[in-house]
Amino acid sequence: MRKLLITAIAKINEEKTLYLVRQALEKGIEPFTILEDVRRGLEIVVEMYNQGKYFLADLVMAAEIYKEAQQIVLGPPQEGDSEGSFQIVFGTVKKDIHDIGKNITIVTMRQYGLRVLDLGVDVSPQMFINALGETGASILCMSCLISEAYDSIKETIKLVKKEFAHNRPTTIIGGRVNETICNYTGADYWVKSCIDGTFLCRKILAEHCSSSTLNQ
Amino acid sequence: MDKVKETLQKWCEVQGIEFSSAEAEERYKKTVQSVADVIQLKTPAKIPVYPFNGFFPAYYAGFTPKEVMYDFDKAGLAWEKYLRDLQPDLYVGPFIVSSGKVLDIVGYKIYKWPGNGLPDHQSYQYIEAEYVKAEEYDDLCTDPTDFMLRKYLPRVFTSFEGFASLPRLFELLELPLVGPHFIVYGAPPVKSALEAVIKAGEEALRWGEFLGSFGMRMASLGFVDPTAGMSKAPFDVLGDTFRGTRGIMMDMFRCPERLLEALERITPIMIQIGLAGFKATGKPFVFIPLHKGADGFMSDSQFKEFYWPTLKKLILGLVEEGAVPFLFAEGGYNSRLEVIRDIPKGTTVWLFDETDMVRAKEVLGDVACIAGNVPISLLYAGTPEEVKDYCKKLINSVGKDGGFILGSGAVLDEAKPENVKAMIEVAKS
Repeated sequence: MRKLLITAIAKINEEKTLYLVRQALEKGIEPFTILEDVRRGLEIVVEMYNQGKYFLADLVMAAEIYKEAQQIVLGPPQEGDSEGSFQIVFGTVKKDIHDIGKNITIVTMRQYGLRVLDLGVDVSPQMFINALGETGASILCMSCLISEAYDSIKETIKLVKKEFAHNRPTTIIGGRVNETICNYTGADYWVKSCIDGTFLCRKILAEHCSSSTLNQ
Repeated sequence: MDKVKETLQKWCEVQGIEFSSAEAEERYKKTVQSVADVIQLKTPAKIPVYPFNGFFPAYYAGFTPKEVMYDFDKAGLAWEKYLRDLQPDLYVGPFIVSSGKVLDIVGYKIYKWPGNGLPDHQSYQYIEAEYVKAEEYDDLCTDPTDFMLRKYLPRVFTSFEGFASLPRLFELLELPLVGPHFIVYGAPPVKSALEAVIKAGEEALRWGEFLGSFGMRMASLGFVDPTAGMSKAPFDVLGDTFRGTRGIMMDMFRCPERLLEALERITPIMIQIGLAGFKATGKPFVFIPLHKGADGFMSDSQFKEFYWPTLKKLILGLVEEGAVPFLFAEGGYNSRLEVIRDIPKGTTVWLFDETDMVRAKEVLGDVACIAGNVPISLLYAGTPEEVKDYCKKLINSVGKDGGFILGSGAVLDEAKPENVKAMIEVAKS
């Protein structure tokens, strides 16, 4: 039964997934266990995407199924749910209002257990700085799809370097960017896909964690 | 295919332009001949260069995007300065920046632009959302134009909210139906919507007259704007401003039959939209920006089932009448090359952005002209030497035997003028 559920979501079968979720609930299986299975199925989808076997459309649909399963199990999301402190601050930079790529990446990151604060689109350098200050997040992810907004990345990074002389957050950019834009803006990393971004963040956080343990 | 040949032949005859000088005439004729040659996969006298400009001329001339959107005299000055100074063979006319005044009058809600929610120095941007629900496919398919008039327009234009109360135009069939039909037109919401239509029309007419005379004047100076009109892949029509990316992707899973039916239903309309400009101007290109079929968006089988069949019908419908589809494949198209090969030889141009040009040439070289793919990031942040190197490599690997137009890989807004100049100069040498 549990294997069936994981397979159903991995195959992006909405009807079957939701049917199995309802059945599991009726059988009295722990909500957490059910959601863990759905999450594992979603992880397979993300892995297949990573291998080029699944595509954005599959990811969008799988995330939707996950959301629906979550609602069946937990009921509608409550305002003010706290997920603990944020590790990553994420936004589309000033002048740019594209949000699809950013949203997909955030969904993927959250599937991998990363705690992400989404600042939305058209985020000014100062807003990024404020959020970094308030959350103490160690990674700043910026999405940018238009050339007019490259300078917004540059300005933000300049400000990050100025404001956080010690414990400077790592800066990562994605969207219509490449090595040239990474060098131009002074970002630490640039990534091509939501998966690259997610794995990079996990790696950075793991390193960050072990180095802070060493420092203690 | 023969019709395309006819179109290009006629275009090369160059009629109705009073050139300002013998050089301008020579330049114009040489450009159109070279473009006609590359479309038909012949080796041209010169590789045409087409910086696919959006707001670049405005930035170049020191105007903000807001200024050129709201003052067409400034748009004219900016475009003329850009063309005279940098001398590209082909250019995108100032129609691309639209008229801010018309947009204001109609209250277009699904975009932001400088003067409406964005700072003066920025290009316009689309606000993606689900403007049409999946449950509305049946309504859309029953009568697309009625759906547009009474459902879609009231949603996306503030000034046309009154159209939601209009009766169906189709009922104007018999005398007893005529009187009742018009009652609602006298009511304030519809009346004010109609007043906005007239106001927008008056403003658009002034703008249109400017575009016409500007285009003629630039032609007389030897600059070629090859674009006659625009259309869109049916999948993008529904996936961009109707259902949105998320919506249409879920539709592929949840209601594939209804999606396919809607795609088929709007295809003939998209062909007619593309042909309207072509028939009015005789210029060859119908611009078709491609969005949701790029690498990574959907699987090969989804591309073959949902995206390509109606795009192919659109291409064939345009080609049959003699127009040249100019397809702008934004993002990467590496995984689609074998599929899109299935089109009539020598009738289309494919502007590639991040696609591997060498492979594109290998796969498409004997059926279609390819164009692009100088990266916007390089034009923005690189040096003239880097741009020249990139262009030379591109020409050597895919351009020297014809079937190629050199240009930016995507819409050119902000970039270093010396880099754009470097790209244009490489094609001259």
